[in-house]
Amino acid sequence: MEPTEDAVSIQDLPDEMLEKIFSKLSLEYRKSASLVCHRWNPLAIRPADVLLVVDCHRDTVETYRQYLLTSSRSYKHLLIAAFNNSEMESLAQLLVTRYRHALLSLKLDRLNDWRSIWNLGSHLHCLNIAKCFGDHCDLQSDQALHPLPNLRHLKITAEFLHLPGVDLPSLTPNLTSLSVEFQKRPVDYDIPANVLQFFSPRLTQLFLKVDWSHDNLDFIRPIWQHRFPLLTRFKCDVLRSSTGGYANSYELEHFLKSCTSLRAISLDGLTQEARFFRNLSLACVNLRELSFRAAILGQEHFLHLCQMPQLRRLYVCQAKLTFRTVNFQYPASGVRDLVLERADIWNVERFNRFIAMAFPALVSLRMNYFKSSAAGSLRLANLQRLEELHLEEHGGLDLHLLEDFATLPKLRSVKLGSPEFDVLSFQPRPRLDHIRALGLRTQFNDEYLLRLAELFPRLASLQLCGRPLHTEGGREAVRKLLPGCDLRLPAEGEIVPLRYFTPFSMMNFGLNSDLLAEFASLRRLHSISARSLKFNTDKLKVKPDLSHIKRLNVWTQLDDNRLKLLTGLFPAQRKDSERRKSCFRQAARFICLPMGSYFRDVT
Amino acid sequence: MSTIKLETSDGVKFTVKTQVAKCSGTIRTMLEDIGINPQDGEAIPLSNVHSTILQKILVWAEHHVDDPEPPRDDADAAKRTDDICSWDEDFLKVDQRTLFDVMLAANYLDMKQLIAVCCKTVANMIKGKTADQIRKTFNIENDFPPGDEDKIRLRNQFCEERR
Repeated sequence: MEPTEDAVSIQDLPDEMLEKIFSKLSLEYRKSASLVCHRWNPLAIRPADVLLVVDCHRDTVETYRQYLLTSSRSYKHLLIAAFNNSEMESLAQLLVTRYRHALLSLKLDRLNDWRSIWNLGSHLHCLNIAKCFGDHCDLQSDQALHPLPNLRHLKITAEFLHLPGVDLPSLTPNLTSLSVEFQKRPVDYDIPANVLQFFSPRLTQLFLKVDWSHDNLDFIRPIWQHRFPLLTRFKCDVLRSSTGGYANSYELEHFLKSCTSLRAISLDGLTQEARFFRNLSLACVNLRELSFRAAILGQEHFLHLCQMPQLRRLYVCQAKLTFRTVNFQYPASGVRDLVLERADIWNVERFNRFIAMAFPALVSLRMNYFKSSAAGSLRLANLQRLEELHLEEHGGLDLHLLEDFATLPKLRSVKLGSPEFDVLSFQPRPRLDHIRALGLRTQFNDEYLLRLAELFPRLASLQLCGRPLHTEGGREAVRKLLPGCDLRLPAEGEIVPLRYFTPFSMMNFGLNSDLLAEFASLRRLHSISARSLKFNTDKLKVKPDLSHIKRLNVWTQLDDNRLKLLTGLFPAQRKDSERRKSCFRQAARFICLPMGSYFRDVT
Repeated sequence: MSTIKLETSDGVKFTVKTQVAKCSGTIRTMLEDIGINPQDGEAIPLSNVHSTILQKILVWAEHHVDDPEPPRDDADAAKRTDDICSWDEDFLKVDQRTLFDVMLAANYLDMKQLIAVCCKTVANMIKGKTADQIRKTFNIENDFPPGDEDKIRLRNQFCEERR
């Protein structure tokens, strides 16, 4: 090749190389790339890398018909949310028939005729029909189910296992991964003994999810009696029931000990007894990942976790962290990844010491929505290997963190969410040229942007969300200071990069009157999850138009007045209100939705 | 220290430390598996690589010759593009023509690390741009029939990242 004569361009690269380039981009950027030219289109968005979502709350059945049935493109991963809409049911049949030879994974949400689709799934590796069961479903049918010998992963409800004609060992004999939801039904369904017997020697993954309103958990106890020698991943979500998570944790400990291949465990509703953590560390010496939710934790618990030599990843959700002393002679020197979701920190100074002492090998630290009960602010020290940091706090982050960053030599990527993070009032100028990616959720103007560019002179990516007060001139000035930087700032009126922070964080929003006004302007938004409601009824005298919001999930106590207020605000909420009401009365239904993805339209 | 000779498409011969030349999987295979023995100063012909590009690539290989084997990374790490070391960043501050020539040669020579760092560089050039801006950046012609772009945009809306 003569570089001096032929002008070589990007189009001279072979397909595999373009694919490699696109594989470095998030889907959002791949979507832009797919619009560049004919050749790039199939390379940028490959069926194997995307999930096709057909959801009749997002677009009309007609739109899907028009754009999917006329395209020759086939997809490998499909989600159909039909909400018992009959037109959607027939479209689902057409789509699955059309893609059936390519289709690897399929998830169905509220589809009455899931049996016909099941019978089209002979090529499927992964099927999720758990959401086709429940109060809203009609399960009466005599249609027989065909065996699916290729199926490896199945997600169902316990009720499915008790339907007439359903014998899992003969329907899906080659499963290696089973996920069972135990819904609250008139009868408590268990996993039948023959199913446990057949699959216990075969499964590598077992996920159990128990609806929290169960009074009694006896129906999961038979599981603990079986041996799963190949099991590598085990997850059990018992959202705190009134009887307290695992009534008898000895059985669970014994079970975990017998699963000798376990690498990853996720447990919910744990006992906070240090004894359990000691036994866990003794039973699962090969564990690499551990996640759990809801406990009061202190030094004694973490000392036990430090005893697990293989532990790489630790995820703790909704824990109260309280330290009387901080002394880690034997730290968790293998843990690279630590996530503390919604932690409640009782003494921040001791907590700072705890992080520095207990996790010297951390590469990634994420603390989403932590709050601290006493004075003092989060500081980071001694984390010589830390590369990624993600902090979001209810209160405000301490600006002196910037000085801490200067002492963390490997730090490359920082995301901060804090109502107040006024870098303009911060005089010191720490040297932060090792940081290449910065995300901030805060209010900002031109001056603020320029100070950021000055503090972080080598950014390859800068993303801000929050109220934008900058001008086009300010944006250009920053572009000049940070050439080649992927600069993403929301325009006036946008709250774009909420998605950029973890989707889960949306759960933690208190739904307040101001947010409702913003949601009114996001016309493609159709679903909201919120952790609490803080309405200023004065501000709501002019009702925001929220007729486009079809789903609302709140995790809070509701009285009749608030329920009335909500029903008035969200007229398009589906009117199965009796059931909803009872859910609300039980202090809500916890449904976690990937909120962020619904903001896709505003970029 | 042992050296070998390489001959480029335009007939220029390079004398290179064997260890540096072995950064190329293609040359390594020739030497180790096929058993080519470049005795008597006979040069290995690299008929797809021009001398200006090989020279550049050898500078890169010389700098990275002692790099440890990269760890097998998880999917998350594979996606990141903010971890290009500053030496490589400066090294790849070249015009597009040279960049793509280096990539084609690296592909021919099977130099995985160099390919990876080039791909990250190009990915960074794409990030944050609209389709139109990308076309402008790389001088690509929009060859979609009118209307097709809108159709694709709509169809793209139905797609989400797999988790």
